[in-house]
Amino acid sequence: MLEYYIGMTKGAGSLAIVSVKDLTFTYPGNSEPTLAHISLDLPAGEWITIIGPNGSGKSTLARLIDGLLPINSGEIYVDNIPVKEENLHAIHQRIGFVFQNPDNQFVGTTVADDVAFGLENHQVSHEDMPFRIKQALNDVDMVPYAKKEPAYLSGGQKQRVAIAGALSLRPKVLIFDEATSMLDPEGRQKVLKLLAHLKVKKGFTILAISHDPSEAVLGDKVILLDHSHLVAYGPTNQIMGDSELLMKHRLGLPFTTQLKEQLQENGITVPKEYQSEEQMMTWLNQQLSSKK
Amino acid sequence: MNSKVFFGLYVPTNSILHRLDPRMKIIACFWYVVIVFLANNVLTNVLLGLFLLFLIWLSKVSLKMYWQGIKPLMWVILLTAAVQLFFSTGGQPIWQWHFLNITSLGIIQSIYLIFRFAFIITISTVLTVTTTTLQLAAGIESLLKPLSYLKVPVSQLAMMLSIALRFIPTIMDEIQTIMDAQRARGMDFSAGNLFQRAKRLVPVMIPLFVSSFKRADDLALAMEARGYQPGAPRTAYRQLRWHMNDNWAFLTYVVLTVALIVLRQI
Amino acid sequence: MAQPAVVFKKVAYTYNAQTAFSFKALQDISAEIEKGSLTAIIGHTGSGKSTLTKLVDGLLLPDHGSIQVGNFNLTHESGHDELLKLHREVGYVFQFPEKQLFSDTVLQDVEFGPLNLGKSAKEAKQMALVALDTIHLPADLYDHSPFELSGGQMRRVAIAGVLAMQPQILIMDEPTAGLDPQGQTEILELAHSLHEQGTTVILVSHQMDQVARYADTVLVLNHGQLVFTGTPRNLFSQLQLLKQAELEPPLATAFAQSMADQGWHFDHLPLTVTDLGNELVKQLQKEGQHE
Repeated sequence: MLEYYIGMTKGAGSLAIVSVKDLTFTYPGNSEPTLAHISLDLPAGEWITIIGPNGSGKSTLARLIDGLLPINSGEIYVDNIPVKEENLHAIHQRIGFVFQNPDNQFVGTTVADDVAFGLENHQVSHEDMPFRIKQALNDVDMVPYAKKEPAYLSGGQKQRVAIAGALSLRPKVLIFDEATSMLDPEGRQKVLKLLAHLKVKKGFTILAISHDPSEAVLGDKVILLDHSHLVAYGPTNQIMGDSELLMKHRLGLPFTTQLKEQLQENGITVPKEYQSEEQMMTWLNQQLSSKK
Repeated sequence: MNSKVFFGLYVPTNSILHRLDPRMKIIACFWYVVIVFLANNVLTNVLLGLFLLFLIWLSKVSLKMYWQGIKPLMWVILLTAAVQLFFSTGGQPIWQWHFLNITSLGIIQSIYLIFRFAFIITISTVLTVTTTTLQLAAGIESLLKPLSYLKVPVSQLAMMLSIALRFIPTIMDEIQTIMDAQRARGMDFSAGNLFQRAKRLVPVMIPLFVSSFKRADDLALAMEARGYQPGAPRTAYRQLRWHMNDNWAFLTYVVLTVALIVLRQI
Repeated sequence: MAQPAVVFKKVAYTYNAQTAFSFKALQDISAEIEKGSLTAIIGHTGSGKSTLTKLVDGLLLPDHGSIQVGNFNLTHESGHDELLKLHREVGYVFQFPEKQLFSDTVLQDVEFGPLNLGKSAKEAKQMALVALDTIHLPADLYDHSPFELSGGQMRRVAIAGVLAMQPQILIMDEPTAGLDPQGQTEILELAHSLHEQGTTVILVSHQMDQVARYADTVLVLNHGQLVFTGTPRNLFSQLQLLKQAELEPPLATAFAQSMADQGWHFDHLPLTVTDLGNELVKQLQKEGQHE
C-alpha cells in the first residue's frame, strides 16, 4: 500500500521529536480500525502536513500523538517520553494543539485570560504570567488586543490567540488540526505566514492537518493517509507533484500541478516534481526560450 | 454584529465604585439588603435613601439607568404593596369593603414596602453597573472559597460560571442564526396559540442542543490539550486586590449600620 | 428583456441603530440582479455581504430605500405576512446550513419547508423527494437520522431542505466553507446546475477561483458600499480595484499577470487554470512551429 517512504523510520530516534510505532486504533463500538499499523517519525524542526480524504484518520492520529485519546495498540514517543496516562501533563506541555473551530477553543473571557488558561493549568506562578502572556501575544502580533473579549475578534485573530496560548507553554511541537479551514482568506494567510515564521525563526516542529493542497505545499514533508493506512510519506515536492497519486486518493491538486496536468494533456512534457509558482514560471520561460 | 456582546448592565464610567474590590461590592450589596429590614421609621428610611443617592452619585452613572432597573419590576412592587395595603390590619381603620380594608398602619407599611423594594433593586443595580460579569464571577469564587473545605468543588463551579459567561454571546448569536434559517424555511414564530408556539421551538432547540454539545465536546478536548484537569491545583492569573478604599467602604458601612440602629430607637 | 430578479434601490442598513454600538453595514446600494443569473457577491469580511443577502430574503428590512424581489417591494414598513410569502420565492442557504437540521429523519427534515408553506403531507413528501434527488443523496439514507451523515452529506441535506421549497431565487452564503475539495466541487456543481435550470443563484463567496469559474455576474462590496458590478472577466482585469477592496485575484489570473510582467503576452488575463493552460499550450506550440 505504501507508495513512497523516506528515511527517518527506524534507528533515527535521536532526530525524531515524535515517533509512532505500529499504531493501530479502533474507536469503541467500531469494528473497523480508524488507523492501522502506522509507523512514522517526525523529524525535529520540520513542517509536516498530513493530507487525506475525510475520514482517513488524520485527526485521530494527531489526537493520539497528544494523548487526547487512549492508545489501543502500538507506541508513541514525544520528545522521547512515551505517551501514557501518567505522562500526559508533560506531553501536553510539549505539544501545542490548535483545533479547527476558533470559537470552541477560546476558554477565557478576554484574550489575556485565554492565554493565561494554559499557564494556570501548568501552575506557572502569578508573577511570571504577565510576561509570558505578553511574549506569546507578541509572537502572534496580538498584543494590542490583550484586553478584548472574543466577540470582538475575527476568526483569524481567535486562531492567533489559540496559537499564543500554545506558545506560552513553550512547547516543542505545534499541531494544527485544520486550523485554517474556517477562516477567510486574509485570516488564513496571516496564520500560515505565522506558521512559517514559527518554524524558521523559532525552530518549532509543525504537524499540520489540511485538505487544502495550497497549504500542504508550504511544508517540508507530506504524510498521506487513506482508509486508515499510511499511503505515502515523503518530501513535499515529490508527493504534491504527483497528480496521479493525489487524484487516486480523491485529493485536490496544488495550482501548479493542475496547470502541469493541463499542459501534459496537450502533449507537453512536464517535470514530475512539484514546482512552486516561481519555479514553474522559470521553467516555462526556459521552455519558451529553448523553442526560439 | 447584533447581539455579539453580553453587556449586562455594566456602564464603564470608571468611578471610585468601579475600582472597589468586587468582593467588597458583593458584601456591601448583601449588607445593605439586610439593613434595609432594620429600617422601621421615617428617619431610618431617609438615611438609607440618602446613602443610596450618595452611592448613585459616586457611581457617575445617570439616574435613568437606575430607573431602567426598577421599571420592569414596577408592577410586582405595586402589586405587593397593594396586597399589603388591603390586607394588613392594625392602626386606624379608614375604609372597608367585604374582606378588604385599609388602615392607617397599612398605608404606612405599604409605603415602606415600596421603598424597601426600590432600595433593594437599586443597590443591586449599583453593583451590576459598576462591576463587570468577569469581576463578579471572580468575587463570588473568592467569597465561596471557604466552602471548598466542605468538599464543595468551588474552583470547578467557578470555571463553569466563567465558561458560561464566555459563551453567552456566542450562543445568543447561534440562536439568532438558527431562527433566521428556520424563518427562511417558511416558519412563522408568531402565529398560533401557546401550544403551537411551544411546538415551534423544536426546530430551534434541537439544533441549538446539537451544536452546544458539539461545542462542549470541542471545548473539553481543547481544555485537556492545554493541560486542564478538573480538581487539579492551578495558579490564578487574576488575583483580587483589597485596597485602602475597600477598607474605607467597609468602615462606611459599619458607621451606616450603627447610625441606623441608633435612629431606630427614636 | 425580462425584468430583473432583484432590484436594490438606494438601500441602507445600520445594526443597533441609535445606540453607542451602531454599525453602518450598508450605504446607498443600488443594483440589479438579473433573472436566471449566477451572481456572486464578494468582499472582505465585514463588507456587508451577508447583510445584503438577508435583505433579499426579508430577514432584515432596510432602514432606507427599497428592494424589489419579484412582485414584492420591501421597505422598512414591510409587514409580517408579506415576508412570509417572500420566503416562498427566496431560498436561503446559511453558512454551515447543517446547523439547522433537527428532524428524526432526513426526509422529515427536508419536508419541513414545504409543510410550512401549507402543502399537504403528500405534496410535501413529493417535493422533498425531488429535492433529495437533486442533491444526489443515496435513497437508503432518507430514513436515517441527519446527524448520522458525513459532513458533506449533512450540508447537502440542509441545502435540499431549502430546495424543497422550489425557490425562484436561491441565496447561498459561503456554501463550501469547511468542506474538503471534493465536497466543495459537489456543492458548486449543484449551484451551477440549478442556475442552468433557470433558478437565480446568489452566491456569497470568499474564494475568487470559485467566482471566476462559476459566476456570470459579480457584485463587489467594500465597507458597506457597492464598488463594482459586472462580469468576472472585467473585475479580475482591474487589479487596482481588487486591491482597494482587499481582494486577491484568482490564482490563474495572478500567475498570468506575473508572466505578463516577464514578457509573455495574453490577450485576456485567464481566469481559470483551464484557460491559462490552453493559453500556455498555444504559445508554447506556436513558438515551436517557428523552428
